[in-house]
Amino acid sequence: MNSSNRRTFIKAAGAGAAAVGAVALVPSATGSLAEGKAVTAAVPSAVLPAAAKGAMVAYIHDVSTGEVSVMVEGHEVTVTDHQLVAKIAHALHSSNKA
Amino acid sequence: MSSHREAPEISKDPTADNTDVYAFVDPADPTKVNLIANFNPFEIPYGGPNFSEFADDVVYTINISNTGNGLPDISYQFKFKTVIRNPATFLYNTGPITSITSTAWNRPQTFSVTKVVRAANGSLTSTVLGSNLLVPPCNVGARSTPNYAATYETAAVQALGTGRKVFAGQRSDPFFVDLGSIFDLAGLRALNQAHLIKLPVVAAMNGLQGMNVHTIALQVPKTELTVGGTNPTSPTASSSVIGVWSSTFRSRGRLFDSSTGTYKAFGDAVQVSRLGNPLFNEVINPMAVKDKWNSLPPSADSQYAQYVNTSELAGLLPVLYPGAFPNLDAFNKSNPAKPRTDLNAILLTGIPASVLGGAFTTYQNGTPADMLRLNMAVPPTPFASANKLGVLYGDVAGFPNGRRPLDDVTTIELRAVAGLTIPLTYPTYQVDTIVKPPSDAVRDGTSNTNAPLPTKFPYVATPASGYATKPPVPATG
Repeated sequence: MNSSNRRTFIKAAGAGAAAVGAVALVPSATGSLAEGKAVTAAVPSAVLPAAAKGAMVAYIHDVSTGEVSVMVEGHEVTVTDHQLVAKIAHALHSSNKA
Repeated sequence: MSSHREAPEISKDPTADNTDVYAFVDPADPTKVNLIANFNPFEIPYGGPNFSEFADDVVYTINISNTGNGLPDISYQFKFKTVIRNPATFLYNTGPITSITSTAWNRPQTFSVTKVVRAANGSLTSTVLGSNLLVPPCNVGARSTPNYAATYETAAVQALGTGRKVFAGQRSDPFFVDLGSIFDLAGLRALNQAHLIKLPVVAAMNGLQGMNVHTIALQVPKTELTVGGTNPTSPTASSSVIGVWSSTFRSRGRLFDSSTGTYKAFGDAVQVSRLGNPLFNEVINPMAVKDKWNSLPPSADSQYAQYVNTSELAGLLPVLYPGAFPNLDAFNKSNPAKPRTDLNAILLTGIPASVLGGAFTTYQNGTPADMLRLNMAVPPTPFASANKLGVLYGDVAGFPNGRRPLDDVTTIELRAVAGLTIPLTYPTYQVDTIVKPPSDAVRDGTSNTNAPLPTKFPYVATPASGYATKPPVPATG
């Protein structure tokens, strides 16, 4: 089992409110993520999604890939956005601390 | 040994660190199996004011592979929740905790149990077996947790639907081993004069004496664990065998939030610790691969078979004890090399019935996967007559057919590595005199010096008391 499949296994438990006998489904929006594939980022918008609030972490394992893992508690998605990665990298390297 | 602080990364994360896993048919009710996993090594009983506890941000699991493929066909998953009743005090308890529900306990924990089953087509079914289950407090001492066993232990054993029971809380560590000697260049105190670096022969010392752990114990019907819910009745059938391991998961991201002074979790749950057979990640895997191994399921273990087939410890014994293991030394130097197929069977594939005289099997389908394999059709041995050296010494209900808390797995595995089990797969091999009866000189030499093991569920003893336990006496030698 690869790591993403194991995450799915744990996610299924996390959906623990499922009734006895119910199939523990992984939402389709995260299905591709459960397979460990990056999806293309949505069109940027200055308006936040209604459900977005509080803390969020963006993790870039390798800036050359353009992949950004965006994480909240218990959930994460990976998007491919070279422009976003470049913007973040420039922000870091143009700061006084870099 | 076993799995206390066995890998560099997990040694820095004790609340997620598996220490031991046990699986055995219940001696009182042979229709049931006990699955026990311990965590948080070396709990000092007087470690207040913040006494040990399960972590809210860790998912604790006990996994079953009944198909033998090293993947969890059934996973019991445990999540904990901690609250602070009175934020205005530093006290763990604001008075005697006179019951498991006493409001004097300022930091109570509850937990939930979820069962996840993987169908043959890969679909997952998740069922909450219990929630808001109660964890007993740590054994602080006579003032805070009076009459510990009588006050909490009955209430802490809780039903989980029909036929199951569960316990989660602090216990005495039932494992025993001379840690101080074994990790000082594989020293066995009784053989100190045979060691390359000689020391006086002295009695062995249990390094877990006075230490507690946090235990999750689950008792379930055998039929819940087999493919198709069949009742396992044939000791020679692979369908009677289950592979058991425990693993813990943390969120992939963890950031310190200065606004609260606490860590916050981000991202998916990823595996950070794993334990099936005692010893495997401890002294089979080399240090550089231990952390990665902890992140993988047993199905990935074929890449680690090389460390079983050529055991580093088996190579070290003839060097560290010159002349004591001549036959093992010669075996190690065989040309062409002879893989340790005996250890491979014990630790990775299970042991075929043909190797065990046709009596029973722990073999599943041949997938190399470090799992504690239990043949549930083998009748349990009453604890009073059990042999702590298990299968190798005639008690087929002991390790490595599952594992009971009473089993001396250190001695069993030391002797196996030292060559006692080589004849299982190389029948002409002559076991070194020091390893076999009547010498039996290769031994850990310790026994359980914590509270006596109980003879009923959860089968792990009352934790050592903070007030009553004496600190160890330091020595610099």
